[in-house]
Amino acid sequence: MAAFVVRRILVNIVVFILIGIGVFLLVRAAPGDPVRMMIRPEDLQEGSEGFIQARRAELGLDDPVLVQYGRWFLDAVTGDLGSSFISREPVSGLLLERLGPTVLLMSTALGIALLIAIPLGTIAAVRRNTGVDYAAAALSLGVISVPSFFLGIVAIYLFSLQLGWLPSSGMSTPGGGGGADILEHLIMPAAILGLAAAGPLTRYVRGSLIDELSADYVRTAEAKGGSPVRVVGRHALRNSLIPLITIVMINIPQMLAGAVVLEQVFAWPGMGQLAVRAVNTQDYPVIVGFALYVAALVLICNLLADLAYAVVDPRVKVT
Amino acid sequence: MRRSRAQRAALISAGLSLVLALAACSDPSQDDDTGTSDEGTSDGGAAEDTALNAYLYQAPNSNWSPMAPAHGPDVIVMNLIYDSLLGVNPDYQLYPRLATGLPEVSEDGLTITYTLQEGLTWSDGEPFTAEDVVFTYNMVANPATGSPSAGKFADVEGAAEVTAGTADTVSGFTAPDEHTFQITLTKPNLGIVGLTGNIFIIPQHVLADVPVDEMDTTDFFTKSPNVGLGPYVFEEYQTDQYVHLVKNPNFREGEVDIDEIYLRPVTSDVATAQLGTGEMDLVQISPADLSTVEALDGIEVASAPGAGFIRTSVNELKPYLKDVRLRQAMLYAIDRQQLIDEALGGHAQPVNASFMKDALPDDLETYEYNPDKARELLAEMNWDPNQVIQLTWIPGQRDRDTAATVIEAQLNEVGIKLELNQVQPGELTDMMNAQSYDMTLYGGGNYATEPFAVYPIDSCNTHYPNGANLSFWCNEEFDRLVQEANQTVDEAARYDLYRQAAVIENAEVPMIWLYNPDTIWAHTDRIQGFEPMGDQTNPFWNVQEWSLDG
Repeated sequence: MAAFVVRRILVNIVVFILIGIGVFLLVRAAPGDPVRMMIRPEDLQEGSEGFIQARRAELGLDDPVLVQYGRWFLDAVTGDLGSSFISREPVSGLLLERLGPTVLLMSTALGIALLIAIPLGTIAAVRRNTGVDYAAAALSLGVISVPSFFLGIVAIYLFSLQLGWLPSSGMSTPGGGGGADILEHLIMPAAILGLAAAGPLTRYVRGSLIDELSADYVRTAEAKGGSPVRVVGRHALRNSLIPLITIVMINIPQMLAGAVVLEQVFAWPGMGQLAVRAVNTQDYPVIVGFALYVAALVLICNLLADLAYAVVDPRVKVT
Repeated sequence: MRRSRAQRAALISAGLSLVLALAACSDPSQDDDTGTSDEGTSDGGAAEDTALNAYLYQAPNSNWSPMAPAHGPDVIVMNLIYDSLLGVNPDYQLYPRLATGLPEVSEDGLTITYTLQEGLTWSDGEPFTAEDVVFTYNMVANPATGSPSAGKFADVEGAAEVTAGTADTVSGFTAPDEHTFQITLTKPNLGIVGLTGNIFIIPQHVLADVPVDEMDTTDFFTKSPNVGLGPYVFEEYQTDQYVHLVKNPNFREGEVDIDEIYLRPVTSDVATAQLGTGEMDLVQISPADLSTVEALDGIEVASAPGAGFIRTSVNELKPYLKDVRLRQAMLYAIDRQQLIDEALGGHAQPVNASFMKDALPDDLETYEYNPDKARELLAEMNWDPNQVIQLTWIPGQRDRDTAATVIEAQLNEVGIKLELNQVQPGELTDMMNAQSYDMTLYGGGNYATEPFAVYPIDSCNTHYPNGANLSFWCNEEFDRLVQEANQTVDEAARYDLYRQAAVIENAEVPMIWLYNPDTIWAHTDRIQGFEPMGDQTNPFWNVQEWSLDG
């Protein structure tokens, strides 16, 4: 087991470094020049070209890309991801101060998704091909099909403008604050993000549970006189949730993509807004930092999924 | 089985607590709570605190430095927390702020003298002196600080040495006494007053020890610029949520009436909605939202002409775009008034020269919509109707996108084949660098206060990237007139020269002028004293005259 874990971690580190190289090169291959883009054309004047050249040299953009990468890599292993070209703040700080809001949004959304998906999927599986099952299917399909930013705008219109129940944007009331205030701001974006993730999860729970329900041990349990609640709840459902761990872990990076969009709609101060702005201004260090954060998230989720599988399912043996 | 269940539970709870711990450890609300309560007590427990919520059209770059490349939302903040020698009013006239009056220019035009108000203090209580001004101007004129505006000071004595790195300070910036700031020039440059008089003054006593090349990364500018001369003091920036400002007890005109300001970056749709819910008090709106906003109860709308204009540069380095008659034909072929009515609800003025206000003569060709005249000009120059011209722009602003399609349709009508080409900002930068575009649509600039601001967009010496001349137009007589104007001390004679230059520009059409858009503000009727400003980065120019009714 220990050897397995070490091997997986080493492989992931290599993959992570390769992703870093790829992103670093790709970002610099994109058209445009971050220094030129800082200054609007109508603000250029005599002598501007000299300034641009000096600034490029100062930011190290004149060196060959591989030299730039080498320098960046040596700093990065010490935790220094460079400074934003635009705000001149350290990238790690920019990412860290937005990590909290993004994690809060995503973990709440994930909780909501599971709270919806597990009961709904279970009912749909147990009562399959009935009205309840079809309704659950329609609901899942509905939230998969409607883009979350659209749901977001509809929700703002309904709950903020028409009903006035919830604040329309941000994470806290200026000058206010406190846990309850954040919760009020969190409800809409987290519910929409959670709903969007609950759609596919419900289908997985249903499918997985149906498989288990037709298994021999379930028939045995029923034959021994177990009540339906006991048979489903204690035996079948537990086993059916094992593959769900993988699905949830794989879904987390996908949720992040949804979060990036929803953060724009709700002015949620997370990573998404930072990333979008960095792309628009070709803020290389921030783009690379954000991409690495996503890469790390994906790799860690996959690793956890593998490990969790081994821990949870005694049939999985790793060497 | 039992063991695996325990392990499963442990795994799940460990995962959950990790997530919660992460969320909690960087939860900004916790800093927020202590921050606001501190501030509440220091305020002497004022009974009714008035707070104004205003819209920022983008999140700030959070680099509140006069040496950072200009970024609108950050400039809005800086206009509130800093002050400058001169200001600009909605008529685009200069007026004194930290100075007692407009500066005195010596007869030979080589010395500019500002007299500063006496007895002023920084928000932290330190006295403000001419040394602060000398310090600030030295920073802005030094490219090592990351300042892109150093070029504006090229005519100041000793500026070239600083740019070259052979001197640390500009010898032409001096403080003969505590309340006098003097600029000494190597040749007359009258425009320097209008172009540099409104630089935000920064506190020498706070920044003196920061090395010059670390000015752009120092915490004072990127985290807490909390010492200033402006009507408000920087309190905190809640990342991507709001900038919180509180009134400056030491403001030169006395404390302002509104206690706090929150500047909040949200999308324009949300901002408009929040005007309705009362969450937002002041918003800059687009003409498209005008009817929605006017229908709201308790919301007033006011507008003022902007300081720049939307235009299309025509790349004259391309042989087929060289003939002046082609550009004149384009102006005649585009119904700009209709464009203004359709895309901007009438909230703009057509433009026929880059000069504005007093520098603009009355008798210019107005290029009224006349497709027949356009066809005549094209026939006269034997325009090849099969020649395709590409119009490149960055899409996303509704009025410009409409303008592009209107131009396409109307030019095609007179026999100019136009193709639309939407690009990303980076792509356009590369095309400018390679001088490979035919025409490009963009807007902005500030030409209303100082006519010399037209020089960088039109002169032979300022072709991109050495300036903003994106048409690569060159007319030596025009350059001579503008340069002479900028060296003429007598105001009447100076403006006469600018008007002569405007006549040449108007006839030669270096770019296809489209329109000068109004800046439209919507605000709650609880704000008293609001006076609309066309400069979208300075809605608070007279905030000391505002009050907010309960």
